Amino acid sequence: MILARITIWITHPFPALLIRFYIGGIFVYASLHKINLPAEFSDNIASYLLLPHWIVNPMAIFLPWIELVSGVCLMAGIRVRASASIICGLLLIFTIAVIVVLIKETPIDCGCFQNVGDTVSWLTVGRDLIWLIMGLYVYKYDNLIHLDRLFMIKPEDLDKPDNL
Amino acid sequence: MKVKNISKKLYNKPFRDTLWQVPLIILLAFTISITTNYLRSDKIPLIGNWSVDARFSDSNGKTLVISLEKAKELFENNLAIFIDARPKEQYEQGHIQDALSLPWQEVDTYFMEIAPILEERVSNMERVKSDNGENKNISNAIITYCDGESCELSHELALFLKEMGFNNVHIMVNGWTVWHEAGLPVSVEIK
Repeated sequence: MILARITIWITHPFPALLIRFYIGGIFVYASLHKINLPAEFSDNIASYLLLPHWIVNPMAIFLPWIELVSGVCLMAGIRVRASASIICGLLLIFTIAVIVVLIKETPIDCGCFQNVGDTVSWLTVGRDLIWLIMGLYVYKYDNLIHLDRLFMIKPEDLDKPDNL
Repeated sequence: MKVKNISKKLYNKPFRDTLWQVPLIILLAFTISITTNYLRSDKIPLIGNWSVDARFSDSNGKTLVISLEKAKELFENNLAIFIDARPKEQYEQGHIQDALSLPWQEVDTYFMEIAPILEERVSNMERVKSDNGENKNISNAIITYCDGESCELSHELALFLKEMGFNNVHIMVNGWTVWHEAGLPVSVEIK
């Protein structure tokens, strides 16, 4: 009985909507500082010592914008599944990068939000994994307030003679 | 009727939709990022120079990096002053023999304490150099170091010392690790 109620709650689209706003908001917030200071962010990427030199600057230019665009799309309900997939992909890459850095014991700042003063730790890994699970949850259960549906034919409208 | 079937099929294929929407969103972000970077005044070059020499350079772009071999040679000739830029606790756990501690994060607190000692050591070093006629081709140096290839503390400290008027300031990248792994003289805390 209790399990059934928990299942109903978990699979209800409302908690998924709240988590969608939360994850989208985090990505928008994380992107702003990096967009503002690309040179600092490129320093930060370089300090991970994981990427070849030629790709550091392109990543510093591109990464904040993919975070911003997918974060805004997720919050606004535009192509939610695609945005959630991108965010999950990014979180997976970030988690792997942080794990590698921790194993190699490279003492660097995370660069996740502000570029200085946020040293990487296993807590960073845990936080990213929780967000990753949240992203997958949004992909699976989110179904409320989608802006892009305003411009689409709804399945129930398909039965109306005008749309046939 | 055909339209209805096609549309229902589209609605029932969320995974397939995601597959073509993801590249579209990536392409959109890519276009915005490249355009914005091109238009902004503080743009960064698409291909940057991230070699060690370029990363640890002064304001004129001249590299400050000194190799372990060169640092060792200067050390053996008493022509180098090593400055540890790591936090005090790490310095106390172990440091290059005779190195001074000037933690970059507390440089304001410790610099005035260190400055007279550093000046005295620099003048001693100048004396050693002038006495040592046969090694005129070796120049003396102040060498900052910290730990880890991406550690920036020694770089910041080196730039600060240059600003304070010290000459021949160099950086030994990943200094503590390469020095003690090479079995060179260190002072370690005895527990």
